Amino acid sequence: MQENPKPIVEIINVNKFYGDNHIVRDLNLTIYEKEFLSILGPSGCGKTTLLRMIAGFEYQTDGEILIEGEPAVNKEPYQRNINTVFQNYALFPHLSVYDNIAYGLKMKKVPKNEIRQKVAQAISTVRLEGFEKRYPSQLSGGQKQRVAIARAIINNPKVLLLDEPLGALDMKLRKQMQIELKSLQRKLGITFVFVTHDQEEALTMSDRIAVMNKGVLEQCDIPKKIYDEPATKFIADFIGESNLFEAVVQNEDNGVSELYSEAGELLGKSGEFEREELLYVSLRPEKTLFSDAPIGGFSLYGVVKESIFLGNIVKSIVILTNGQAVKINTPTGTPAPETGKNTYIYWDVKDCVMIPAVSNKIFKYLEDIKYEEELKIGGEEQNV
Amino acid sequence: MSKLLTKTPSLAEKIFSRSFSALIFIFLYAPIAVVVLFSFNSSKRNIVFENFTLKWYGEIFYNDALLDSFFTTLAVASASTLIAVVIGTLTAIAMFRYKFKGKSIIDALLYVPVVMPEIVLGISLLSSFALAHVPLGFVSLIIAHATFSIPFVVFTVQARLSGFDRSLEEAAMDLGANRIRVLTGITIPVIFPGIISGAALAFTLSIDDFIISFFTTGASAVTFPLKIMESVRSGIRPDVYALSALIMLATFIAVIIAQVLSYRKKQKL
Repeated sequence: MQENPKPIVEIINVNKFYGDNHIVRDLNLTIYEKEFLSILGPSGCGKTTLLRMIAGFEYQTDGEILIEGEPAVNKEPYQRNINTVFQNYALFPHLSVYDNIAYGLKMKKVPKNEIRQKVAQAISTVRLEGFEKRYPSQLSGGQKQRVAIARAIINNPKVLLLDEPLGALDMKLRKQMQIELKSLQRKLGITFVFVTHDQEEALTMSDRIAVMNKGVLEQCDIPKKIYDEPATKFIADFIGESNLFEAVVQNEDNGVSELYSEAGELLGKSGEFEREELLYVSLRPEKTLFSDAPIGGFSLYGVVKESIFLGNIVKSIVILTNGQAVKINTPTGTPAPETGKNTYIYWDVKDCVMIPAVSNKIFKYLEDIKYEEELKIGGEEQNV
Repeated sequence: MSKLLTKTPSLAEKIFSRSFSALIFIFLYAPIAVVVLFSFNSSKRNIVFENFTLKWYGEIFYNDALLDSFFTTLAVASASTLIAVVIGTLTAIAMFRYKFKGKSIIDALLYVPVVMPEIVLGISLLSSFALAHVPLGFVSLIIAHATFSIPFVVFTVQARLSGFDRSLEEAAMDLGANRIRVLTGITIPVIFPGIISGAALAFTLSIDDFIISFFTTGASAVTFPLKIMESVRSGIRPDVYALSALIMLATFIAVIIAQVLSYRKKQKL
């Protein structure tokens, strides 16, 4: 991305309800020119609804969406400089490949010669030469996909929205299309907003990833930050593999915090934590380490239940004394304890991620309410 | 797999199943064969077959009343089909697209005229026309036929719409089509096979309708079924058979063409 990127779509405090269902919650997100942004989340997290609001197929219940600085609320989909590639492609079954791709230009009453020229160009961009006269029912999944993309990009939109476009393709074709989409985005220099539930896809393709869960945008950042510094427990769990330790802060000293978990003592980064504050300490399996002897500050001890050879790495699963399973990846060739052996585990403090447990605060809050209610009931009983 | 499940039939079973199938076809086609046969009969009386002749086919063209009734039927069927297709298709699209209060009631109300005895519909239409001072004739006949055809068009178009992907409409709007162009350029072409079968159904229903036509027409517009019914009293003339045979031939050819077209389309897809 260039310096000082220009915002193209701004989503400000947007909420969306379907009846009583709160689909999108207080969402703020700025999408910039020429970036590849993925909206990542499990199914039902509101990501498709968000995309549909940007496209203009749905309207937000409250909040505002600005497109190129202008409120989008009164703009029909055909008045927005945005095109969509649909999940099921939505190719017009009664039109040939050529007519499908030409549709947008025909609607804009572009002269016929120009249409012919631009369609030919779009067809060569997505490498579908020779398929012009076919009908959608005569195409494979990958070919339909290319037609859907050509049909959208021919209109030269500022933003291209893609709703899980690779979902129906097999693994190999998927990987190939990922690379093609990424290079297409660079070549066209337009913004791609790519909705997916596949974290690997999001990590490999995106400039930035917006992770959504239950209608909330939990984090929006570059892939490396999302992977290395997940902001929430959900993201640590959802993106890649993580070992999560629920732990309570005991002490903070010299940039290191001492914590206590059910499995034993452990060390983490320091922050401005309160004593007794509940946290999650998250570690990637490749950053979690074996030790024969106890390491200062750690008392995590367990037995190796399984070690699986995966080519370049060996994946071990260690069951700790409290029954928690910990995944540890070691590069093939480096020493690792065999199955059935006892081992200590530890990590370098700089490799762990400290995630505040928001839910902890909520539970505390709920407990306070309950306590107050009990007091009230007690008082009433006394009155009787 | 199928060989394991179905044993080879014995000779007796073969004879039984084949003669049973043959009987079904005889049952269906024997009356039709009789009409065709007697259209070639030189005798005016349809009890005995005398000699083979084609003269009745020629006579059709001198029987003005018969020809008139035939063209009246075609005109009424075409006009009522057109009206029913337009109203029925738009109704089906509206019912598919919008959710509104009492939708299921309207859906159920559409079925009522279909199951209601035709004689009731005939009488109701007759009294409605009398109330509204619509003279009985060509116009009242077209209105009546359109009335009973609309539900059939709605049903066939609804059936086609049930498989319609709404994201096609969204895609068209996304590509710059306004709502009218989405309807004319995407929705209607995609559901066109449903519209055509609805139209075919409406046309067929109109052509052979007798009961409702009987109540809702005057002397100025006599349809083919009414004409035949009239002539039954004075004995059916063989030229009626000849015209019936011709209509049958046309129907037969239409069915074959439809089959060939749908087969070709399947091959293409």
